[in-house]
Amino acid sequence: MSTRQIAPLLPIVAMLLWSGDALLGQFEPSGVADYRMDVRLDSASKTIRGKQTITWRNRTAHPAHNLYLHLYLNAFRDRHSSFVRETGYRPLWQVDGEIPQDYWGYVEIERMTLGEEGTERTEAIVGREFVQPDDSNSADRTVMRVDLSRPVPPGGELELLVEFTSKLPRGVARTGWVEDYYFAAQWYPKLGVFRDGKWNCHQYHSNTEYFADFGRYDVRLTVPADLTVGGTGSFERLDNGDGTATYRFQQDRVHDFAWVAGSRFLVREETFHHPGLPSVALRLLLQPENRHLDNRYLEAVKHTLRLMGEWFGPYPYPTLTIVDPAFGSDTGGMEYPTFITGGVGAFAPPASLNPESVTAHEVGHQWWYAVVGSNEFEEAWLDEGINSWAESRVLRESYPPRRYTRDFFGGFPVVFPSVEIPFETFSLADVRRGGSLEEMARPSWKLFSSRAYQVNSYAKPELAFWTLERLLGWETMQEIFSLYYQRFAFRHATTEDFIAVAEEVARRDLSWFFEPVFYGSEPVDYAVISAKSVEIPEGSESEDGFDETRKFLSQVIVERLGGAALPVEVLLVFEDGEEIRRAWNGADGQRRFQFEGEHRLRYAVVDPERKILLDVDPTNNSLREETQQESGPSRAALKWSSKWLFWLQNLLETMTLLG
Amino acid sequence: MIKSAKRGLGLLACYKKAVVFAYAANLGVALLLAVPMLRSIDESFGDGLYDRQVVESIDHDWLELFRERASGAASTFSPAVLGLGPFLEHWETLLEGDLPALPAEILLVATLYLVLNAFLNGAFLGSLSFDPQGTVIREYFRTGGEFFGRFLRMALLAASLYILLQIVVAIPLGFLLENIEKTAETARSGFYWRFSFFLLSFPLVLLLGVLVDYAKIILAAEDRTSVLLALFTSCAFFLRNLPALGGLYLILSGAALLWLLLYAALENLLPQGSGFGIAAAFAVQQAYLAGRLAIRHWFYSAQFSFYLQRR
Repeated sequence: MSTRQIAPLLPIVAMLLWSGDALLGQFEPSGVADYRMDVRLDSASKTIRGKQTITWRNRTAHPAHNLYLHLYLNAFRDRHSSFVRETGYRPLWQVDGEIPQDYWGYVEIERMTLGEEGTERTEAIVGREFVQPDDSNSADRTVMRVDLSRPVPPGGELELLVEFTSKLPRGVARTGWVEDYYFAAQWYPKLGVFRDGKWNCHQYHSNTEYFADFGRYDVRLTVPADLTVGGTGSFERLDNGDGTATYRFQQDRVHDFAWVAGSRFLVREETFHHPGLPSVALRLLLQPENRHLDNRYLEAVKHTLRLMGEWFGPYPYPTLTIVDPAFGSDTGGMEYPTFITGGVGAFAPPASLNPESVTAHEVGHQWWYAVVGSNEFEEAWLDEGINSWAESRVLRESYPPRRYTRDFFGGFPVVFPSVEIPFETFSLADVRRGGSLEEMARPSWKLFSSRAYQVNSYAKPELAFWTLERLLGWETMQEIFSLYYQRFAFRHATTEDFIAVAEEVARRDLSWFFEPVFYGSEPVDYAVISAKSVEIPEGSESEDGFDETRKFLSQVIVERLGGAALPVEVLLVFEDGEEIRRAWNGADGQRRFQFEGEHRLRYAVVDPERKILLDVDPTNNSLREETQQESGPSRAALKWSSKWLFWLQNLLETMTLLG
Repeated sequence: MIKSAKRGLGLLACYKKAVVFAYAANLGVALLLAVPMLRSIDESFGDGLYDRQVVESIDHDWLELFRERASGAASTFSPAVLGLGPFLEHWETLLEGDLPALPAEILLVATLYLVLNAFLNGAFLGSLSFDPQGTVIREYFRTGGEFFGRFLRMALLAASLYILLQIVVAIPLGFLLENIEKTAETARSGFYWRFSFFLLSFPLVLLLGVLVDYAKIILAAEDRTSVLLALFTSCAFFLRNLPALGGLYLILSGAALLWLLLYAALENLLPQGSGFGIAAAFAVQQAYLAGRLAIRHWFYSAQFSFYLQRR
């Protein structure tokens, strides 16, 4: 069998070789930071108090003289955090007048020692202070440096004992409370990532997500007994008999732990089964008003587990919890290891693919974030972009295309079934509007605006991968992503790692694609700017005398209007139906194609199969030969302008109600 | 009520030309902007092949591109031109008080249309008053000229009352409901609060429409010159005859709704990819509009008859 024939089978072979446990056990050693926590939720004060033991192993070749801790909740401590500053001091909550005191959130470290419990060595910590590695905002308290008296040598290990109190904010940036719903994300002191002799521990920015080491989490969580709880990993529940219950969550090979508790949840449990893939216990925590959406949530989860499992490799954990977030909590659409949140509006017409879309996206993050742990601070596109493409692919395989839906009268959705929104070009408009703002491959907090972050982390990479798939073929793409998943499971991957895998699988240099698309911000736009045929004057001499047949010289000029150059194909179609295809590397600004023949050119198209989906203006990719162009308006123009005429006539008539 | 509705139909039968003139005005004014729109849409396809992708249905990639580049009236093009979209969009705009946000060109032609309507409504209602059995076109237009000033002032008064309604009722109501919505426990209950704004505004705008309609009828039937007095008389008449007047209004509104549903069903059935399909859809749309204008005139003639009966 040729490599091409074998390639599609690779993920299947990989699946057969891997069970979830096999994947979990395959990549020793990756447990860098283990967390044991024993905490209690005080629902009245919205605080979580407790202690944690972090076991950290220095797996680098450099000694660590200090530790860096994320204290994410301090972003919501006051108006002076970098998070708030970067939003332009936009209020975190929509309230009239003064923000109530219990809306703010924070995390306080009350005690910190080294050593195992009972044998603490307080003298080992010589100091701790808030630091600001990214900006000069001394008021920001989202990162703490802990200085050690003795460095942790390469291969060494330490235990850090922390007693802390976390005050949950009113729901903001996907953490916090609303009524009796408590969503705890980024809620505990958490180590940064030590690599190359220094800590990678960024402040909490308005446009960033997270980065942490893999490890084992063992969390005992005590909450009022009437609350339903969900969180990262498997759990056991113990009723304490005093109105509280303690949940013990355990999960290996994860880099975060989030949980939710609420009194209104409906619980639906199912098991995902699919031949060749490990079973997964699914637990859906649903708001009662959305009880009719349970199957739609679960179907989206199963489609994603099956397709991504088949394409890239199996989901490695035994559980997956899906949370339908409380209204107004601002905790929807987020991923945590083995634990995701969906979200849906007041109505959810199936044609809008809501909640399917957000659910497939967050489940997809289990591959591109939870298992392949990229640095979301510095390379947000690497998980969001890959995952946006993978999510669209899952949706395309599982559902009919979205239909244009518009809300009327305060939110009543009306579906326009004839207007299809293709999965592949869903984000084209975003790329056209904002793709030139900045380049994709740059730290997300340095992106100029949240719009630039959205475009460069989601829309542009998604469109880039759809384009790459059309250029390389699905088999190659599948091979690239399954190898990338295998190689970097439970490890940290970078842009360079991804490109290296892509080039290894494609067996060629792909810098012609990655340079302009990932490291550049110029748009891609090709156009046919001229297409004409001129008759060659009669009487041209042939071997047998004068040639009586008519001959035409056809000339087509293709221009690269955008700054980014990608190779394209140019198609010329003649009156007799003959087609000529030519490749153009797009390096020059323009290229002229010239042919002599017995027939006049009918039209020319650049990128006829529309492989370059990044092309921001597909309407200029073709041109009819000058003599073939329509003299009057096109049928499409007549149709849509007559529809608009009717729209306007109705508007005028509606206004007569006023006089 | 039913008698008035029937008599209204009889009166309208004698003045079919009123509907023809109103339709001509509607189409003529709309064409002022539709022709540039045709050019804009046609240019957006260029001289290539992309238009082929947009014949059957709206191509989403083209739509986004067109809307990004469009300005003025062209910027209002959206999939809401399809099906019941225009009706939903326009009523939403009217109830939210968002008319001033429409592009200036549209506001300009709308003003022109309202002025023309002042003339044509004066002609119709004045003629019903003077010659219920019908009149010649010249006389019809002469009557329009006679009532034009009064009907124009009435249109201005109606517009002012609409603005007042927005300021005094709709804006505070919207603000109040927005605050209540913040306390909603679910997305659905939040929607219900937002939707209740429209539920409350809708009858108020309709009420304004009814009062202005009767004020116009009074101007013509009583040959009054003061639009304010006509409006006061209209209010008094409304209060005095509320049950029957409301019943008649429901009958006429029911007819308008039935006509709309018939249009929606028919428009939905038509294949619109071929030249014939496009022409057929256009014909159905124009027939709907002609019917809608006929129903508006039926509103006038039936209410006119009702007023004469009950004044």
